Amino acid sequence: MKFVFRKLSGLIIALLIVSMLAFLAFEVIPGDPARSILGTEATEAKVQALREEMGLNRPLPQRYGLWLKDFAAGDMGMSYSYQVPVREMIGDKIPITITLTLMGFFFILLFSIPVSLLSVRYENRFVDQFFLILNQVTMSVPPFFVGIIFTVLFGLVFKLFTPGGYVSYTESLTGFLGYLILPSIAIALPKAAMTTKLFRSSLITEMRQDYVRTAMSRGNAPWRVLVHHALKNGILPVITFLGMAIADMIANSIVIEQVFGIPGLGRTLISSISKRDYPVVEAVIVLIAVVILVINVIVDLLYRKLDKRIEI
Amino acid sequence: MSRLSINGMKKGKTSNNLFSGGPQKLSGQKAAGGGLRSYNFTFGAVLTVIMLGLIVLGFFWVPYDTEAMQGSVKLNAPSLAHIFGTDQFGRDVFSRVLSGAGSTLVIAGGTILIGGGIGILTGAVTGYFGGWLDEGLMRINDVLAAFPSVLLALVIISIWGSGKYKVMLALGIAFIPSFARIVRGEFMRCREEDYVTSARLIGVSTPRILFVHILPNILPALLSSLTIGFNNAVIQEAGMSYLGIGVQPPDASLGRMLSESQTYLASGPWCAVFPGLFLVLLILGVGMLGEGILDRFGGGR
Repeated sequence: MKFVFRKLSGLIIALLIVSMLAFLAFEVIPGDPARSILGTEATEAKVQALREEMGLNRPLPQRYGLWLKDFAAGDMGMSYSYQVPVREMIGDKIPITITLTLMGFFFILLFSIPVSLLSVRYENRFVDQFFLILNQVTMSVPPFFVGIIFTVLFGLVFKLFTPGGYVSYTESLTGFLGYLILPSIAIALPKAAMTTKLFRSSLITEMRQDYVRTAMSRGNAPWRVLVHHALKNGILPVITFLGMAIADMIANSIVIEQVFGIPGLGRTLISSISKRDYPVVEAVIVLIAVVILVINVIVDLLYRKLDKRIEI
Repeated sequence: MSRLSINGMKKGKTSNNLFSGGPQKLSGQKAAGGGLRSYNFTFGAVLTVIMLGLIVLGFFWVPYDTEAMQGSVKLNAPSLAHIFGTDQFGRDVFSRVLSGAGSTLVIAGGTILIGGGIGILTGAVTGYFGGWLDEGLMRINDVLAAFPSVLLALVIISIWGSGKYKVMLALGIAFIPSFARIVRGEFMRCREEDYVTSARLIGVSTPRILFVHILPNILPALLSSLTIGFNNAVIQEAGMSYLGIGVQPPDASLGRMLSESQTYLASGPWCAVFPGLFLVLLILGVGMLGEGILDRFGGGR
């Protein structure tokens, strides 16, 4: 319980640090927001009036407090370019990016667990060597290039999907999920390769432990020992890595959404960066930051729960 | 690993690969090494030298002018005259790949110089001295290191704007937390060692202890994390240029070549395949070199 409490208070401090850094980065450094909204033609008096209205003339700590309060209540400000609340702009895009990342996570597990088990069962034999090489190469391919290869292979050669033919989840849920399969594999593949590498070496370490030898000597089949004994301990280091992999996949989804023409958070982020639409950029970044920090805490708690060796 | 909380260090994990792109090392991996492991260093070094050699060659000589458009050879398949083919404007893909890779090398090299340099300094000082400054800085550092560095870089780029050197600076700054964290861990590990205590007792100056006595001892871990940082910079620069917020024309860029080629995937797949393949080989070579360095020289850990 004390551990949970400490983790949660750590989370709150981390969230405060992030929000402060984001506030400083976006509210203080880049130009005058009032001028950005009104454009360069507006008179100085008009700009001053808007500054007053937006509260820009108040002292910095007070502005931070107000901003934090609004943000926590879901008011993320107005987009400079579209003059609509940021919340409306990104609200319906969040589920798309979350689905993409979750599917990516699923594919990481789907690829890495069987491959790791096979490699360890047949350590240093052909299967293992083959996957070692395949892993090393897969790790070196940038996710967006995987996406382009997929577009060529599955879109143009095998014609299994229409590149750019994104289906909204409001239209057809199966069509939406179907379209996301290839993009999610693209963000999952490099991470799956790293997971396999880590999982394999972790399992091999476990297979050299005394308890495995004991289990073997009692006549258990190698597969059984691997799955029932070693797997449970061997997966521990992988859990922390998977937490980071989710964070990285969220970042990679920004590029992958562009490759496959998926209108998710990433696309909004990139177009807002090009237009210098700071309120949108800030909102997306802070949202992603919150998600990542929360995932980190969940992973830490999960690890603690699974690893009985860490005493509380 | 970059996204562990401070407690992560206590979970029985080593911390030599703090970047997301990094392979993970476990204490038992040495014993678990397969037969291929021993080839990492040689293969990685050879591939890295070839790729870097090609890029450096591209600084001085490319077969065709990278911007010269030839209407007669639009989207020609690879041939002896154009070994990587030509693009939609009849420009030579090989020449463009070499000059694009040049930008990549400048950015990735600059990134690890900035991120590594500042990261090593802060990591060394905070790790060696500890104390409240260390506590405070590392608290912020942990939060920053929890994010994929590309997000930090995107924040910086959204404020400063894009372009070759801005991308380099943004990535460099975004990489500082991860480097600082690795180096700090290594210095904390070393500061209680006998050779450091002896050096301190015979009156060796602190900077000398830090950079002449300790630094060489953490070199394998440091070099391998620099290679991982290099690869991450390559991938992220390519990604940002692909999105149009990285390297801007007239500077050549592999990422932008890839995004431009997407319209012509059906009629000229080589415009996408070769820039991508070049990236993959560069990353593969440097990645294997980094692992090889750990395998071969990191044995004392």
